Amino acid sequence: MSKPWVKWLMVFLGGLLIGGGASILLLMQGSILAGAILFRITQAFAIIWLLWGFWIGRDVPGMKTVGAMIIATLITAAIAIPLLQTRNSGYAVAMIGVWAMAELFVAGLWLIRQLLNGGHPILGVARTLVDEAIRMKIALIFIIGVVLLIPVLPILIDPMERLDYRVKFFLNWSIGGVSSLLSMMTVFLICGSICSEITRKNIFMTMVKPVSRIQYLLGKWLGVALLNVLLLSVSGVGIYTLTKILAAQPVSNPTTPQIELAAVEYEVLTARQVARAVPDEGMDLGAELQRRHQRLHAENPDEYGEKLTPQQNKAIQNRIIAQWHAIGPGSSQTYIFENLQTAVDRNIPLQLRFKPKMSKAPDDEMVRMALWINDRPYPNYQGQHFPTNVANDNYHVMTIDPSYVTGEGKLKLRIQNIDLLAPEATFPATISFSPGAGLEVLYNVGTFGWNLSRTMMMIWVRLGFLAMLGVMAGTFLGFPVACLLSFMIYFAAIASSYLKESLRFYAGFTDPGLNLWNKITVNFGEFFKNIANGDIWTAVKMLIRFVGETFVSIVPEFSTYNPTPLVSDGRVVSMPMLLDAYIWVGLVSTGFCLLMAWWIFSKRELAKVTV
Amino acid sequence: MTTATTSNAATQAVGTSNDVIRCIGLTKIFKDFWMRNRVRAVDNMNINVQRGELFGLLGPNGSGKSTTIKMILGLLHPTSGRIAVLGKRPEDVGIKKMIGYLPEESYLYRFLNARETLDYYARLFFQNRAQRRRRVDMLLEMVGLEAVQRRPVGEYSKGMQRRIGLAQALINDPHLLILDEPTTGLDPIGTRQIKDLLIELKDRGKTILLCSHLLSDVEDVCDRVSIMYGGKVRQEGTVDQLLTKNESTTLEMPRLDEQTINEIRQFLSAKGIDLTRVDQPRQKLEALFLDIVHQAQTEGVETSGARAGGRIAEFLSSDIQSSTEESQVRHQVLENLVKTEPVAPKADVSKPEVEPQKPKAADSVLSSLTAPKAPVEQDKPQDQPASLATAPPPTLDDLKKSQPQSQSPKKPVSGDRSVLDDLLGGNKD
Repeated sequence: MSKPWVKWLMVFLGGLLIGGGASILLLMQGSILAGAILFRITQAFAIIWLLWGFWIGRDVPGMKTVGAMIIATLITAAIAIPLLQTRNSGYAVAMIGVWAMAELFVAGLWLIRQLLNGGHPILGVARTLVDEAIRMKIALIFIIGVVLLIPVLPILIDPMERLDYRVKFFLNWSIGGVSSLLSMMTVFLICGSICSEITRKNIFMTMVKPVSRIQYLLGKWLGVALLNVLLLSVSGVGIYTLTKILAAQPVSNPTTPQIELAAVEYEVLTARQVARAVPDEGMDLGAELQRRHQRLHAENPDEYGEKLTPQQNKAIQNRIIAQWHAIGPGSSQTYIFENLQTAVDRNIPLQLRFKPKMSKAPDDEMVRMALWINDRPYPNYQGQHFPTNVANDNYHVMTIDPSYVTGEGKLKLRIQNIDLLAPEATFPATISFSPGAGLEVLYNVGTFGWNLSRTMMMIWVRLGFLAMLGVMAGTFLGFPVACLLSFMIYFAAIASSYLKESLRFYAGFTDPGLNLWNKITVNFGEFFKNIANGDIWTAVKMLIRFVGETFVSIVPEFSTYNPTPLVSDGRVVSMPMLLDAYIWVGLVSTGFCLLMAWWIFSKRELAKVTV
Repeated sequence: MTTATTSNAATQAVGTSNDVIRCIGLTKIFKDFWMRNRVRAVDNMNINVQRGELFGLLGPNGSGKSTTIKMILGLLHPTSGRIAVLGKRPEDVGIKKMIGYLPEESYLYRFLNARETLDYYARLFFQNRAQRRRRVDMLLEMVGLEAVQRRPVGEYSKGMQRRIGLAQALINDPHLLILDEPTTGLDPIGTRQIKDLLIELKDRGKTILLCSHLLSDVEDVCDRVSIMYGGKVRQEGTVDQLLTKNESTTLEMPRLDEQTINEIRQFLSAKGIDLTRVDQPRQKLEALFLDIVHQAQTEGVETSGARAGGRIAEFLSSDIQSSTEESQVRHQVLENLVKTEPVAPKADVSKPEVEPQKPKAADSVLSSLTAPKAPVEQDKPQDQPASLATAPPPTLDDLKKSQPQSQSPKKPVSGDRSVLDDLLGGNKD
């Protein structure tokens, strides 16, 4: 084997030396044309000889991969470089993106395989799963999907759209798409691997070796988890690079480019901390709640007992907060934003982001307000208080100097529903803000790059949970049912808060002031009473709600750990949030699934039917 | 009903220091969805495999052999009864370091190649990279798959898969080797080599449990045999105990001419003894096996397995071409193996009341790989009847003609066994 290689190398080096040397000599002697032609010939020789080298060494381990990578590089360069000089540069960028991500993936895969090369059962099982993912088509389809999705997505975006919207769209769809594709890959791969090993009996050969059942399960999980690390890293690099390329594209309105560019820089490609409005000290929510409870109890003692149920309590609180976010004609409301000390310390400008909505909009669709910050008129130019007139039902951002924040890190905002220019003409309608995102103060605390990294880490921990869910399902179910169960639990986790709300409205339970046991007994009584009265449908709905609520209560609430809308909106995916996700999703939920999987798998007879 | 979940202490009591496998009252009942007894696959079975023994488990399809093996390996839980493997419970992960297992089919990962497959199984035994590389190289050489080591296992023929399966069973140099139908799918050369390898391993002190329904395999290599039917052991003993006819006597002596035989006949006749046969009266294991099965059937013993087979279905076509192609592939893979001498025909003389002569590793795998082609004397005259299993395969005739120096069927005395020695850690020769 070594002889042909030595010959090949000698010819290669000799050709380069002779061709390159002669080219330089010719150029030095002033024969520019001859030198250039010889240089091109040497280049062509080098490429052809290199390819020949890979061909003759194709049986050497790894050579096929390296050869394929070099060929892909040459093809990409041959197509993309001419394309870059034409109007179709978007296609060239997409092609280079696909190439770069594919090369990065192959290199990362090699690294993972090296990492898993140790002599340990967990590593052995994990590495075999990685090999399976690459060589069996089931996972490869999703991997190709991920590698293609990100570079191709910018081509699909309308270039006439506002630049910040384009970037947001790309971030939303690329991160969401990657997350969805990897979720599917994770479930199909892990369920497919475990179920097929049991069905095809490959597992016999593994489990008669000194491999404990938990080591086998952990090995499977580790393989998928590492593959997800690799794919999320590659996707992260791809998304970051293409976002930057996209952000450098021409704006939609060249007359005011600074508006779109500023929006991209300060509202999208950033990591902003959020402060939500809290009531002024003068307002006592607790006292208000008590007042309303007393009134409701007096009006309807059957519905509202001496003690409010958690649901009733929550409903009344929500009503109070919604009313607090509404300002009647001519009146005003005060909101406090706390924990802004970091912005003051770092002298970071604050952004007041709000979306006013009028109960009945005027003809010009404009909302007219007057603002005071820390009791100082705002905006205030040369002693004059200017009105804040903005479009109805749209998000608006106002920049506030950090000097407005008090020493305790607080910002007091008073909003009056008044037309400052013509107070007597104030439109007789209420201005309201959605509690939460409808009125908030933001300030920059980090970079887009780090925010994207934390986003990917958050997605990874969710995928880690999903992988363990797949492991658990695979230990006792066949492939299709295991996939179905995994997806069902996963989607229930994502939509748990919505499901809980929906179930509450779907069927009525009698639960005021009852503890859990009484609630169960009373409602079971109601259930049987409905059956006895012939109201079967109500009984069935009660049963569905009971089963649904029980199911939703045991799955983790993933809506809390969804980083995609945050990062695309330039909000920080903070370290505490990430830590919280790693503890609750990574340790508690995933750990619970592992324990369940271990318990089931250790009881299972792997060779159940043999005769 | 005794529960299968025995304590460690109880299990220790089951196995003694010389017992490698000990099953007492082993029963396995498969239940249906409604938990009703569906199949009694193994029924109150007792077996005891001693250290260094080559033990055969015989039985027709569905007799409970594989179920027994899977319980021994911890892949199935007994319904009742107790098992001790190397003095521990089968579920004990620690004992599996000392076990090698070849299942009835080689359940390999079809996306891995031969080298990756062996490397994977070696990793499960905590072997480091250098150790793995060394052992994998040796095993690939031993089973003759070096040339195709980079091909995915899914592309292998069944015989090649058996070879790689056998190699993985040996990757950890096991003390106990459990083989389920090891010669299935192998050609006669491969079959003989596997049998020789088993004898070689036994000589090195390994304990082997061989499960098969190929009677000649078991007869050739096993020390003791259990014959199963309907989940029960019908008969157990050494091969000679089971096969010897006690109603007659065989004298072994050098070949006699016709005159001497007549003189002996007259001599015996004078003593009132009638000399009935002048050959080697030995019952075939196949006959015994069939008798036992037949007897069990006449007794009405229930079995979930196959009964007497019928004529081949008419719709099945003859696969001569593919057989030829497979044979060619095997021939190519085993090129180095078939260069060696044909297997020595063993003396097939039964010797009652005498210590049974253990079959020698007449042509070990490694010897066949590396042995010099020196001519060696034959043990027996050419006209001596050779046993069925040891008859030189006819496919070698052409090779013999082209390689006259390979005519000797005797095992080369000076064969280089270094690869096998290294692999198994032994130093016997």
